[in-house]
Amino acid sequence: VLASQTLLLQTEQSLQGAQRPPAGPGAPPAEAVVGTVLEVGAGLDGVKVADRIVAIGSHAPVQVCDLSAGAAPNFAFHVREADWATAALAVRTVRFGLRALHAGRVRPGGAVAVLGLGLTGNVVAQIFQDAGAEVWGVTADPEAAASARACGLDNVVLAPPEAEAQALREAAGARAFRVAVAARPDGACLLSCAAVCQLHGQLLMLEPARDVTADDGVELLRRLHFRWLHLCGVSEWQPAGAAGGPDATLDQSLDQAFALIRGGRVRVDRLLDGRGGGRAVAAVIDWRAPAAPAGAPSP
Amino acid sequence: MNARFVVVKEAYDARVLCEELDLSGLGPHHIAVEAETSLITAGVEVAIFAGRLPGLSRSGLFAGYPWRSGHAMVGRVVAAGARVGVVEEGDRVLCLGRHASLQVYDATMFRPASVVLPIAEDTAPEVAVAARIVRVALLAMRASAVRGGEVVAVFGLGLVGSVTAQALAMGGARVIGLTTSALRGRLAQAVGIEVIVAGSRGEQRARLEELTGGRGVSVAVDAVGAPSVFDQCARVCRPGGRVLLLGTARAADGTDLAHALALVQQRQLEVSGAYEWSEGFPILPHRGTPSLWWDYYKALQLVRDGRIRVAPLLTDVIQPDAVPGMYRTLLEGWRDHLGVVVDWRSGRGAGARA
Repeated sequence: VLASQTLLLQTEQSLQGAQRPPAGPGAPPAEAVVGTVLEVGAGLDGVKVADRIVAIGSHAPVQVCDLSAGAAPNFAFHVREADWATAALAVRTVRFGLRALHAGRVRPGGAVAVLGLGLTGNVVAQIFQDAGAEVWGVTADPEAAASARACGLDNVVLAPPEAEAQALREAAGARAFRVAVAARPDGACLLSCAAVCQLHGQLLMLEPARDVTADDGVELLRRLHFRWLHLCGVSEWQPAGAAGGPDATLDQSLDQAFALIRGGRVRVDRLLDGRGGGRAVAAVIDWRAPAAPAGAPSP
Repeated sequence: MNARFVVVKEAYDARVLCEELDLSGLGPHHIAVEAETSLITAGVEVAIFAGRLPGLSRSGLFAGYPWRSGHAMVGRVVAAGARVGVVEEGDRVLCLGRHASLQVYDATMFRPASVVLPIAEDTAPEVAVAARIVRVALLAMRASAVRGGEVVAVFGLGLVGSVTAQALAMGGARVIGLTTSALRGRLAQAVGIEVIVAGSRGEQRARLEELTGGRGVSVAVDAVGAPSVFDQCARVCRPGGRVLLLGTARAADGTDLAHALALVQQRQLEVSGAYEWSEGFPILPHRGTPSLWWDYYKALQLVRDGRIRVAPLLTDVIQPDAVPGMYRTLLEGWRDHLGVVVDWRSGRGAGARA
């Protein structure tokens, strides 16, 4: 018997690859799962048996998704039968990208640097570009660069972390970056962002920075201080007790995110399975296949 | 004319020297100012005295030793170049001059470091010179965008911290001042900061938790400039809160900032820098926008009217010859001193010749 506010899901596909930490204690490891509802617990409104949904789940063929208020943040977002499952898997990441866009307060035509072009960085770069910003993405990985170009990013710079700020400045010429997005979880990435950002500019930190040396930490504080920069944390969920933030409800923001995917304004097809050039930056596991693909986590 | 001045020749070597100034060839935008008082801005001056230089060359305040110290003085204009418009000979002025009995000061209107404002004859010079610090507090008010009723924690109750706390309270914030020094806590109380926590870092966090009912503060101000203080700021901020970096971080202090940065991301905090000499900040007033000159004018008004109280924060009024010793004292025993004013009006000793 299912507990209240939970549902049983038959998984079609699950997504692995985003580096954001789990949303809370006990959160499952998959970025997102798409599947068909087999059973619905009492008190769960808006979802019924046979619905096709995307949710946060685990890498398993059949799983229970807990949507109760006390559990880690989750959602059950309806996906049409005609929708491509892999596209649906990206809705969570795209929604996160929209939160970054909201935090970035960038104007059309404004220059934005995105340092790190993994799944999150790539999606965030696409969303800023879609919003009218002139986006410059930087990565040390030639294949991630190829994926970014395949997704339609106009300006991609290939450079190792220690030289990324310099390479970006050289490639972008005299552009002043109003916003720099740290899409890699390391102190060096934050420092590079601070180095390329214009006076009074904004640094968006998408992931908690790990491996921050003492000297890098002091240098970061100095750059923020001297250049009047604003370092803003972007989290996937509005922290409890925080005022303001995006006005949209969870469903509205997921709708908005999926609309971007359906409309081809955010190209996730080329990102998740490498169609059209570049390799996939995140792994999609197909649970409908008779056997899981090589390298996939064991069900 | 003979003039004495303070110079830091190299790290840990400060002296009061003497030089001959020829005022006959004064440039068109220059003034000669005879000092009444100058203010020791402890953060920068002591850092340079102690050779803690990282970041300073970038600040534009330090281009290498020997360095003539000082950034704020009150005095009288004894000569003015032909094109100086804002003040004239005989005026009593506040300017960003060095520690010197007499100095030639560039009063070019469009240079940030050339601010010079006339001050009233009845304004106490040791109070007027502290307007230099009040201007920093005005920047902090603007940069933190504090709204009325918001709870603000100001970490570090040195001169900058105490004055900033007063300015924020004046703007309607509910200010909590935090310090590890009992003396600074008492002085902050004397200037009207209502809630003071003087204790260890752990005690400060516990008391803040209690005072905010566990919700945290809306704004935390680092008025010290140390990684450990930034770490404190991030820990006590409520989700969606703001951290203001008012002090310049000079050196690593063993704090691992990974936790603080994780809090910034998870709680969606906004960390903002607020350096006094911001490039691009308007120098002259234009259509009501904030500007350097307006800030100094306002700062002078605030200290003169007593709306920001600085007199109780001035722990030492010293003679010029005592400046080198005071640098050492501030370095080693900063907890026992706060505002230090140099009085140039008496004791005009010879000093060593440059």
